[in-house]
Amino acid sequence: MPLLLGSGLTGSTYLLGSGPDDDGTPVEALIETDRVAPAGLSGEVVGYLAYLTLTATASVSGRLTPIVDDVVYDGVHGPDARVGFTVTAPANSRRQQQHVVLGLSCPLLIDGIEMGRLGLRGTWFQFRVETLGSIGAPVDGLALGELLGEGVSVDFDTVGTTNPILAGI
Amino acid sequence: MRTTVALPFNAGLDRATGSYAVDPSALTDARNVSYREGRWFVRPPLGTPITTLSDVVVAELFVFRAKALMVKVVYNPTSGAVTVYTCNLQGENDTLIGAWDTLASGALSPPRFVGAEAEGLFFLAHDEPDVTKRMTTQTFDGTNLAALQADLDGGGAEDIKFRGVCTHLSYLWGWGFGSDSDPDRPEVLRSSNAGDPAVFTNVNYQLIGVVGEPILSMGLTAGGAVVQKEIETHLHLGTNRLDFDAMLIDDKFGAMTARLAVSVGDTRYFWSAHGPRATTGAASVDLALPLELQAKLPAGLPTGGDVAHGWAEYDQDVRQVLFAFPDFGANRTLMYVLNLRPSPKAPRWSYHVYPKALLCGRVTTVTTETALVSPGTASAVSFAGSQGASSASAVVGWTNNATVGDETVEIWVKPSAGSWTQSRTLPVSGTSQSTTITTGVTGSGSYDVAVRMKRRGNIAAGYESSDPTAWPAGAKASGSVVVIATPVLAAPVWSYPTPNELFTLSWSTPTAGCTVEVQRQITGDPFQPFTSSSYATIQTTAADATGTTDSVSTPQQKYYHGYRVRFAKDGVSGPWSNEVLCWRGPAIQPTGMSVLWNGVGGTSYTVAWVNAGAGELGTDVQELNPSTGGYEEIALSPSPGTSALVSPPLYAHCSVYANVTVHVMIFHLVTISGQTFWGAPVTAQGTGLC
Repeated sequence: MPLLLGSGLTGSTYLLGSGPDDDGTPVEALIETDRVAPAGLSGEVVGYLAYLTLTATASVSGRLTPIVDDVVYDGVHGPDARVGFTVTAPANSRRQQQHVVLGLSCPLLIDGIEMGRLGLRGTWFQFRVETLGSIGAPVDGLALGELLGEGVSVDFDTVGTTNPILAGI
Repeated sequence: MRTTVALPFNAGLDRATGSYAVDPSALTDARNVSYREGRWFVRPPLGTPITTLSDVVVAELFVFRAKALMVKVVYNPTSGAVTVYTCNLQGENDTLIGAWDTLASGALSPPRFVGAEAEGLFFLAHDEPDVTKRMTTQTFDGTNLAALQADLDGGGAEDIKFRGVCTHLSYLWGWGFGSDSDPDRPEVLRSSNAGDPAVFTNVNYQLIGVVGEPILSMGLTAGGAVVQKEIETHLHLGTNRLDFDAMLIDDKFGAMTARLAVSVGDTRYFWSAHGPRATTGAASVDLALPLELQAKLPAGLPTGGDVAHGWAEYDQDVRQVLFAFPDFGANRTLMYVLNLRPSPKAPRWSYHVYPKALLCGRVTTVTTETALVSPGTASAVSFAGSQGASSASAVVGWTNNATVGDETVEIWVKPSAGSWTQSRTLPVSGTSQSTTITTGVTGSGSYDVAVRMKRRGNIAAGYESSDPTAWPAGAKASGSVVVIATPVLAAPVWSYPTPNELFTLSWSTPTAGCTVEVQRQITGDPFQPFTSSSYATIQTTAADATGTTDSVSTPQQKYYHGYRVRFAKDGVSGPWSNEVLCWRGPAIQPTGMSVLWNGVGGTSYTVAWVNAGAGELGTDVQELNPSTGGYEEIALSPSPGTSALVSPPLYAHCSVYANVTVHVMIFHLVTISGQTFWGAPVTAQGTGLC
């Protein structure tokens, strides 16, 4: 069922889904999860790994941005802790689920030796998932590429437990 | 201790619920995504325009199901002209229907339109609040626009200017217009005669809600039609004129505009002054809470445009209600997207952002029923066969009659004594078309051509047979094709059999029965380019000739002759052959030619060559004039020397510590049968440091 859209500035009529982008502008998706507090209301955790699950029929690039205690770690509002990912195109253009493992910590090196790890520490965690650029074309060249987000699973290391008083226990 | 938290993308946008209570799988921002069960997906792209009409904006699109086409209302912001087009259900093949009116100064711009279909007619209303600036309601039968008129005040038939129209039961409903003598009645809802939507009588109207407060929208729900004002919703009751009534069902919420409401099954979704709501014919329910509209939009999400130009549509493919707000200044559109999948009882929101100000949107449904509309037919078919080309083809033209724009056109062709072949299939376009066919047009002869149309397999009555002989005569035509081969002209041979020079020409075998037209041109400068316009016909041979001679009697000229030929028959000429050049003289040429600049700071150069040893009488040396491209004589040696000192040069000049380049051409003068001729020229160039 075609969805036709009429332009208010030109005499153009568009057919949704008839091309790979918005008349030259990539369709970039962005979702941001709501807050979770893995260690409780006043506990603290350090993010370790994020497992992003996507289903795609074509290649697409994107990135995951952690938001901890309302600080967006995007290099603008806080340090840059964004992690890029690329989903590869399935060989047969059928939907293929792919898991992207994204590190949320980085090594602390002293004289080239990893002596520890630095990670994002806090109570409330959110994650922003974005696609960058257009979704590629499926290998069969027939249909537009498809990208579905399934979910994100995150491993945290608990570094402080819930304060019973703050938690009202 | 390691903890794993899984966050499925399941709950949709929720900007309202607090952190302690919110579903962990909810989202605080969801941009350019829609939802399926437990996942989101990236929305489809806009693509590039499938059609563009110049100097206008596309103000509204409607689906006219009875005619299986779309009605496109466009507006010219410069002139104010409002024009109606149709296109097919895929949005293609814009066809001009006609001018509606010119938008009045001060009217809402771009204008808004509301449409409704009833009894094979489509009704177009101008949703302009000020009745003095409102355009007359139009009826459209698929071919012509006409003003909707009625005598509503006893003063005779006058134009009706409804603000909006809606089909309900077997009536067409129009609101916002009293009569020609009392037009500004925004609370009036009029109904047509049953089954006769273009006929309105004075007594058939209702007053909805507070007098003077305008009706803005009307649409269907499970409980019946709802009539909405800005802060009221009324349920329209009854099934015929005897029991029509209206009941206030919501005194707090109504629809902001007619275009910001859409019916989906038993529910009417609409944008109220407090955001999106839904009604099934009872008090409306709030859908706006997860959007938290009173808060700022998520960071980076562009704002939408004025609610006055917002619109709503339901995309049943993905079960989404779209509330779109185009921003003309920023040329973008923000859509609030209500995802009804998997259940309308648990809708989920997301945002769509488009980098274009999209003023309207319409889902078209191409169904089996719409496909059953008969295709149009072709008339005034013409066949213009190629005449004289080396390969056969024909241009077929025809007029499209009663097409809806999504037909395919079949071109059938047959030699007069042969059988029919389907030569081409192409989409219908515009009111008349032409196309070139080659399939089935195999060579010279007479041909018949026939044209028919199909709509998704449907064929118009009278065209069902696979033998076009049985089709109506108006869809057929005849014509001829004449194929004439392209000659291949060999290099001419010069000779001097005294007293005249002779050029002997030969070419490939002509198409049977063809004469051969021979053309020649002469250049005064050996290196002057030949041009097609300088050719002149020197003779036409008898049929089937494969060669001829060209005799000339003015010897000792430094000329080239250029020749070309073509075959012709029955007044039809074929393509020209290749062009060939021939020097007017013997092919006696010097060899080993060199040009040597005489040293740094020198003012002369030396041309050297090796004689051909064919009894040369002398040598003519010429130098290129760079400004004209021609050669000019600088030395004429009366004896057959082997070099010449050129001092000073005609055009080559020395610039110290730079390279100087000299172009030189020389001829030998020879005697043949007692007559002197210049042999074919040779050129060379030399470069020296000066």
